[in-house]
Amino acid sequence: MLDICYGPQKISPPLNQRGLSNYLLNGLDEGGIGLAITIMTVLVICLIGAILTSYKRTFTFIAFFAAANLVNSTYLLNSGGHHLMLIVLFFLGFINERETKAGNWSNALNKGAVLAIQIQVCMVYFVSALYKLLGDSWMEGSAIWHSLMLEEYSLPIMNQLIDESNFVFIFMTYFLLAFQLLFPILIWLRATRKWILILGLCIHAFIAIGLGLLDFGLAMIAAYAVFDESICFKLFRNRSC
Amino acid sequence: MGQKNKSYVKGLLIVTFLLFHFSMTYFYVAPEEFNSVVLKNVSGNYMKPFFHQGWSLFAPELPEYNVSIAYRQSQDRQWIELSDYYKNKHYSLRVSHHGRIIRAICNVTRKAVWEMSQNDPSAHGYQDALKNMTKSMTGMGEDEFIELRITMNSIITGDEKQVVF
Repeated sequence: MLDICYGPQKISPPLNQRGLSNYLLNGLDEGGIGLAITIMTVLVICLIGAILTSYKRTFTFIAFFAAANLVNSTYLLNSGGHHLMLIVLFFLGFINERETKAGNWSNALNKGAVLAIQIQVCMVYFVSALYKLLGDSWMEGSAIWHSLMLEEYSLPIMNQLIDESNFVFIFMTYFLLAFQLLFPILIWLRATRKWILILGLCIHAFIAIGLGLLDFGLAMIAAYAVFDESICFKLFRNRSC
Repeated sequence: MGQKNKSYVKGLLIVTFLLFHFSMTYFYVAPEEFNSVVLKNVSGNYMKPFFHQGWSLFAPELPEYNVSIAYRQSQDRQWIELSDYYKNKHYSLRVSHHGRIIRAICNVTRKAVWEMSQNDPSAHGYQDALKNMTKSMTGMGEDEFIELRITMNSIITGDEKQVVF
């Protein structure tokens, strides 16, 4: 796998883009297994440092750049889960949960970053729903059946069991569409938050195992942690920044 | 009172940045029917490469056929199935990397098929990418000859079609 991702003939051809930001985030564009392993080591060390030490922001930002280099080099192999985790990691770089004194910039950055990740998750669902509204198979109710007929997103047993006219798959199609449209609204209401998160966890667990999109499913499940009530309602109860 | 005003200023600055950032995000990722082409291009200058993202998997439409590829290193040799190996591994080892590889193969293969359907002899980027991917996965040299056979099975009609390049 290392050879396929970072070897001299890596599966994702070099993009040869210029600019400072591309140099910072595409250091593995030409490949390099040794460099990739070094960057992976730096990533792990920084993540541990961010958890255990008080230099959380510094370590998290370095981890972000390390992860971005690793992910961008394998762009043909990536899914939305990789992009989401990079964006979440970027905003986590503004959080230091040990600095929560009301009124100072550090606390303001903490709250702003949590809010940014929450809005990003809502954006994922909302934009995805907009694309689905434009699709005939989604409006007709056949999209879930159709996706399960794609061999790389399914399992052989699913191909044998499913039937295009099965009411269950039509219901699942419209249900998923409604879930994505309503999530950005219902997630902010205390009465519905718990249920929408539970539904989302079930959906993403199916996406991870059933559809085989393990990275995307896990990324969304991990991102759900930002909606943990102990974080969110503390955020908005303590109004001062 | 001064302290409270400073807090409001901090909050306002952060909210202003978030409004700007997520406006740019929306213009970058939203479909053209709900967007502006000009703003989409402008937002790209801000969003790439730090915040690059896309949320249109399976939408608006899903692919209409399954694909598989086989390769051979000369025209008098047997075809060797490539995608079936990764597909079967992905079925049995759900948490492995084989899923990423088979999805990459299928994505680029469908783009190569679309490219061939354009009948433009100068357009062969995806076909070249698919050949390079195959060489990468099979350990072949960059300059070695390779021929690929793509088999397409329609999900709707069940018809099968093959192309060789």
